[in-house]
Amino acid sequence: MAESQLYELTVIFDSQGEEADIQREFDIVQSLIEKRCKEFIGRSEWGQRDFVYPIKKRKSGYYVYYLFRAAVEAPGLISSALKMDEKVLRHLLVKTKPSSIDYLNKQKQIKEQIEKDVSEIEESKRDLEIVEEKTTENSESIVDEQIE
Amino acid sequence: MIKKKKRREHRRPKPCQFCKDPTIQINYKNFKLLRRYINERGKIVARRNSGVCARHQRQLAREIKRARFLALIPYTAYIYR
Repeated sequence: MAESQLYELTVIFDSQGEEADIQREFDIVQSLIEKRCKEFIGRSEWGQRDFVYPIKKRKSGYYVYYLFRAAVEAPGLISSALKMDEKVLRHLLVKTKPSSIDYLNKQKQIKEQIEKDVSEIEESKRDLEIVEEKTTENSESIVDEQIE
Repeated sequence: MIKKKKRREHRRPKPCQFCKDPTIQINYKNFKLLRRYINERGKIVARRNSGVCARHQRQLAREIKRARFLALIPYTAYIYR
């Protein structure tokens, strides 16, 4: 039986095109990995980043990180499939240590924290708007009374 | 008159930063750390200058090359473009 290894894959996707298409492409690559791997551990989206030097005449791209456990033959098959994909500008598939699982968990926690903070900010904004509306109504009514 | 011989100061080399703190991970994902180990021309800093031990210098070089491939770190300085 072939031994399984922990691998990490970082893919740079083309940022040209619609957001929904790019998101779909992330899922397509994930399903491609899931077909060939033994255990898919997770993925982390780094978001759109500017390149330090242009790649295929593009100045920025979407970085997505995948972590999985697979047999020794799998990486070759996955990278040959990725090379055929036009939406993938570049990819790096390497063996990794179990500490990468901690990295992935940390990234998830950071993402959750950011989402929480954003929702809190939005809530506070909404509250502020309500307060402002009330104050403007009150001030208008006071002005009307004074005029009368 | 007897001249006093000056004693040469022997400096102990600084310990490697990564040996000192094993929690620091050398990885291409941590490219902000890697940026400290390349000079303004984008070249990998020699270990005699950075004070990193041989083992960690090998790891640093490997991860810098990976980060360069993913366009996270430059191969060369901007002036040469």
